[in-house]
Amino acid sequence: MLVSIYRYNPEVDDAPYMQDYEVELPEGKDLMVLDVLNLLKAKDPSISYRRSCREGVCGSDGMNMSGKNGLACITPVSEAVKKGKLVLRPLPGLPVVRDLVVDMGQFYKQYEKIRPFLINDAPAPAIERLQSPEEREKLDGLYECILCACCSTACPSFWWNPDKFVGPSGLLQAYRFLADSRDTATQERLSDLDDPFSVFRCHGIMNCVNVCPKGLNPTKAIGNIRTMLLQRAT
Amino acid sequence: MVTQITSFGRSGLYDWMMQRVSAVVLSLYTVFIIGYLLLNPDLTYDQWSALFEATWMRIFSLMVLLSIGMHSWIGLWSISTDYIKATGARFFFQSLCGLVMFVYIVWGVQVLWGL
Amino acid sequence: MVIDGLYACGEAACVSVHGANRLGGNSLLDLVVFGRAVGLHVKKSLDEGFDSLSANDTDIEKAMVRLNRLNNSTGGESVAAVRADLQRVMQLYFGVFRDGEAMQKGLAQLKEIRARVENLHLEDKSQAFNTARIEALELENLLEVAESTAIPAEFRKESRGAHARNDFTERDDENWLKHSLFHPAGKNVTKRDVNFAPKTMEAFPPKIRSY
Repeated sequence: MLVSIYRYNPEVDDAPYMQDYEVELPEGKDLMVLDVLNLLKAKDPSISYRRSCREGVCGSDGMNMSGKNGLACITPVSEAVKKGKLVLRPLPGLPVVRDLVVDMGQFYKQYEKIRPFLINDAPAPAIERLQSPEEREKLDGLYECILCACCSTACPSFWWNPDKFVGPSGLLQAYRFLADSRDTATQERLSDLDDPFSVFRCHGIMNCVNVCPKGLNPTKAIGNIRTMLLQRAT
Repeated sequence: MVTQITSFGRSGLYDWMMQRVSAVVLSLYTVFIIGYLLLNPDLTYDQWSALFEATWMRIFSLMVLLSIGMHSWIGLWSISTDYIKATGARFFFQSLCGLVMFVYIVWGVQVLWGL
Repeated sequence: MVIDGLYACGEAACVSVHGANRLGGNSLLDLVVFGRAVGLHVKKSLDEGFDSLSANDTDIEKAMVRLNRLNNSTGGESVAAVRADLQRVMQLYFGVFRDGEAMQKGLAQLKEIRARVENLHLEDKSQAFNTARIEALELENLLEVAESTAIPAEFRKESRGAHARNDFTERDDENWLKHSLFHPAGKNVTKRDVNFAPKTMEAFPPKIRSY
């Protein structure tokens, strides 16, 4: 199988380039893209990429595989190959540090901006802050985000304004705290989101939903934020 | 909170709402005009003129003109903040849009009320 | 020697919350309780101040030996190949069910791998997010962990919890109700007593595990 990898070493290269490799796939097995990368790295140790858990929970190996963002460790080669070729590129839109490694700074900044922690200044109870099963269910589909950045780097609005538009991942997390019954800063959180950039650059393109490796739905969460904003302002 | 001075309204939510409200107004007017033209195949100048003499039509048309102004200002603001990265060029583009919008509205009032 | 400012908790500390053995999940108790104790002690130490040892040039030189050797390597073993062999040896000879003969064979092979690891070749010497260097350093670490797993495994002549031997199938509380301590310098193992005198509770007496 032909594998084409985006290569860039700022120490020696003037510009990035695509490097082609031939890889022998074992018979009768459908490897994951990460397995293929590891095989290639055994031959050419200079290929750099992030990876850790190899089971789709850490979010380290987010990359663009034949045009679609995803996690290399849980994407089978059969799914990622297009016309007999596997093309591996770093996540689009973020600055490239080396080969498939991107600078996640902008992504993290937007995440921190929405204050991703529980705000409740009431004195801590002797046991946990209690929550009914119905209230807890509201967090399903929100807390599972692994911050892999596949969604935000697939979003054109995020490409054009990564410093101003919070992005699908950040907004999903913003809603996770807006929806949490134990959080008391709902109004402040909503006020912080009310400008024309933070939330409203979402035009419902839905690339985020298309690529999320955990099956989450940022567009829906953003719609919920809009509803909350509308409810308190009309 | 991202500060903004050239967007249309007082908040992102307001712009979002006005974009949709103006879209509804524009659709209604479009349907009306198309319907009117289809239902009046042998339209004469006098008939057309009489339609725009009616006060309700003038008000409706003015509402549509203002809606076009709002809708396009918000839309073009969106596009310019996405694609025109140089601040000077973007500010110039937005100012130009605002100016053109103003001209159309004043001219439109003139046309509608025969001033 | 107690080093102020250096802390350990969990199995590494041998405080025997779960006795001389632990399976997946037990570590939570150890970490939560003693992790918290460590945190509180750290705060206290910082508030009161303590004498910390500062590293001198010789110490730093010693620490840099590994990195310098790799950065100056001109030839030698492939990291990926040695790692694959290490994985194979551990999987084959020190897996779930163990026996003395196989482990002896495994230990001999680990010695060979040790020699090869001293001679790893770092092909990519760049500085920009170089994962080849990290993997080479981590292979050296993996071998340390492998040796500290394998040598004590062969040393412990009984079965206890996850350490299951086909040649010593029973638990031997008389000789082996002890912590194994592996000494990486001499690559040898010694025994240490289990703490059966907790301060505020009665010790839970060991029983035969049966269902």
